[in-house]
Amino acid sequence: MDFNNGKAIYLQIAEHVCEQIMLEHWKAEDRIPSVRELAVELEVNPNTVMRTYDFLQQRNIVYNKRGIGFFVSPNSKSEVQAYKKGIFIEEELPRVFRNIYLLDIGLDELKDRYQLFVDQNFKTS
Amino acid sequence: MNNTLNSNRLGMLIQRQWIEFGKIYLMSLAVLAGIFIAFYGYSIYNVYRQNADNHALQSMLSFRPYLFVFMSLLFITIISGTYFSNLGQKPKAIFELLLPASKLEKFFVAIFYTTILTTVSYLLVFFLVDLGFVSYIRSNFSSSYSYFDQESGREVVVDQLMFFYKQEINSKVYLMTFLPYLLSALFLLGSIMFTKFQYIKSAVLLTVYILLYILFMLKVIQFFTQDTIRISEGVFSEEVNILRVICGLGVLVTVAVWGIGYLRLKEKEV
Amino acid sequence: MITIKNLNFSYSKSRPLFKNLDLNLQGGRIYGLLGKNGAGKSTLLKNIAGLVYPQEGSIAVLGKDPTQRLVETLQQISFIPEEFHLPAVKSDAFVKANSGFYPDFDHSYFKELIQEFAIPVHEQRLADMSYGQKKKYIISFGLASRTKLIIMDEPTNGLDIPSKAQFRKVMASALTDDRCFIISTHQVRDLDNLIDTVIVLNDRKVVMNATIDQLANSFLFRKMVELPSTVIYAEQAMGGYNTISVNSGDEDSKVDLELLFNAVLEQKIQFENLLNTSYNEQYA
Repeated sequence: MDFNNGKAIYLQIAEHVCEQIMLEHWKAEDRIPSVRELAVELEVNPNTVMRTYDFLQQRNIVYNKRGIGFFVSPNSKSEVQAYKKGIFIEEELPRVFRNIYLLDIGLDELKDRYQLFVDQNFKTS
Repeated sequence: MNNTLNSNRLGMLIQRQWIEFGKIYLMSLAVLAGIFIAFYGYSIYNVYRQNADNHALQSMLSFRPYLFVFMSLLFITIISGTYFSNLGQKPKAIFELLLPASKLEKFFVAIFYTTILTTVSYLLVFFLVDLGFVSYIRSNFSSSYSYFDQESGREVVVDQLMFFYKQEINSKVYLMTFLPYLLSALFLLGSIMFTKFQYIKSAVLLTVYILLYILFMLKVIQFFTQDTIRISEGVFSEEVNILRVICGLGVLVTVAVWGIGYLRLKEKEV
Repeated sequence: MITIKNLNFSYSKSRPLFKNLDLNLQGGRIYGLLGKNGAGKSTLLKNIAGLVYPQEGSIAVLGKDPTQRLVETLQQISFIPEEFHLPAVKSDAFVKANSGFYPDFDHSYFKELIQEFAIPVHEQRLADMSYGQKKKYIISFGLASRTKLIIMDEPTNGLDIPSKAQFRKVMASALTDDRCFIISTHQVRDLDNLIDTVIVLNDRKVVMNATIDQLANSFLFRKMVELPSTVIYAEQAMGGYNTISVNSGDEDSKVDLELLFNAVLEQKIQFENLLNTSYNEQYA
C-alpha cells in the first residue's frame, strides 16, 4: 500500500478497508483481518490499525465480537458509500469546482462529458 | 539468594563461555604441549648425540622442575590475562555485560576457567607428555645412584629417570603453590581493568610493583637491622615458618585481588 | 516501564552529554529516538541498559536500577547494538548456549523469524555471515527472547530493501501491551508508520516526547505552493514547500517525521510551547 499522500495513516487504512468492502472482497458478516494481521500486512503500528477499526466501528462499517474479532457490518456497503461520498464532497469536489470556475467550463458541457464517460465505461452494449 | 547464584545458570554460563573462549584455550594448550614435547625431545636427542654416557643420562631430565614451574606461571597468566579481554572490545563487551547472569556467577566462572580448568589441564598435559617420553626413556636407559642416609640409617637409592609426579617433593614446595593463583588473580584483574594490551600492561605493572616492593622491604629491613646482631632463635629462625607466613599472606592477597577484580567487573562500563 | 529523572552524563568532564534529562517510557509503544549525530542517542540507550553509569540522576527500568545489572532486569532487556560480534559457531550451538539465559525465550518464534528473514543458519557459521544477515539474526534472537524491553540502535542500517520490509512486518507483529521498543534511528523512512511515539534528543535534553496522534492533532503537515503566515516551518520541495502549521481545526494529516525533526532542531522552543498549549486545550 502506498502511504505517500498527506492523509493520516489511519484514514488511509480506513479507505483501504472500505475499498475491500466496496469491491466485495469482504462481504457482510465476513471476518476481517485482526488488528495484528492487518498491521503486519500493511507494515504499520498495530495501534494505528486499532484507531482505524475504532473509526470504522463508529461509522458502523465494521463491528467487534469480543474475543473473536472484527466483522463487516450487515449494511456496511451503504455506510461505506455514505462515508466515501462525504470524503468526495469535502475533499475532491472543491478541487474540481475550483478548476471548473477558473477554467470557465460550463455546467452543460460537464453534463455532456459525464454522459459520454458513463457510456464509454459503465454501460454494456 | 538463588537469583544471584544459580547452579543451573552457572553450568550454562560455563558452556557458553566455552564457545567464546574455548578455541583460544585449546590452542594455548596445544602450544603448551608442543613446548613440552620440544624440551623432552631435545633432551633425548642430546643423550643420543653424546652416546648415552652416564653423565648425560644423569642430567637428561634435570630441566623438568624448571620447565614445570616456569610454564605453569606463563600458562596461567596468559589464560587469566585474556579471559576478560572481550570487555575491551565494544561489540563483544555489550553482550558479555548484558548476559542475564549475576556478576557473582560471571566472576565465579572466570575463576573456574582461570584456576581450576587451567590447573587440571596443565597437570594433565604435563603428565601425559612426561608419561610418554619417560616410558620410552626407561625402556632404553637406566640411571641411578645411591647414598647413605644418616637419619634413617639406611642406604637410599635414587632413580634419576623417574616419572615426574612420582618424585619426592620437599613439603616446603607446597607452601608456594599459592603463587600461580596469585598471579592468575592479578592478571585477571588486569584483563578487566585494561581495555587494550591487557597482558603486557598487567605484566609491566606487576614487575614495577614487585621491584618497588622489594626495594621498600630492603630499606625497611635495613633500617631495623642496622647495627644489630641476631641473638635469639625465634619462631622465624626456621625457614618453614617464614614460608608458612608467606603462604598465608599469599592466600590472603590472592583472595583480596579476586575481590578487587569482582568489584571492578561490577563497575565496568562499555 | 522506564523512568529517567534528572540524568546527568558525560564521557569527559568538559563536555556534558546530558543535563537534567527527564524521560518516561511506557509499555505497548514503539518509540523512535531521533537526534543529530553526537546528540547522545546511543549513550542514552546505554544508560537505560546499564552499560554506562550516570554521574547524577536516577534511572528505573521495570522498577530497578539498571546499573545494578540484576539478573531479573537483564532477563527483560534485549539490546541490539549497531556494532556487534557473533562467534564462529553455527546457530544451533549459539542458541543452545545463550537462549537458556532468557526464561521467556520462544524457540518456535525464533525459527519463524529465521525463516521470515531467510537467514542461512544451516549452511554458515554465524561469524561468516554478511553484516546484514548477522543483523537480522541478532534481531531475531532479541525478539525471540520475548523480553519486555527491546532497545535497537539503527536496526535497519545494513539491511537490504526486502529485509527492511520484513523487519517492518516483524515489528508490527511483535508489539504487545507489556513490551516497549526503543529504536534509535536516522532512517525514519524505514520505520515510517511503525513508530507511534517520537522522542527527540537535542542540546543535552529531551526536547520532544509525543505520540504521533498528539502530533497529528497539534500540527498540520501539508504540501503548499505559497507560504501563508500560519506556517511554522517550511522546506523547499518539488513544486512548492513541505510545511508544518498549527492544527486549529480537526484535520488529520500524516506526520512527516523528517520534516518534524528538522523543525524541532531549528525552532524547538516554539514547538514546546505549541505542544503544551495543544495539550492544555485538549486535556484541560
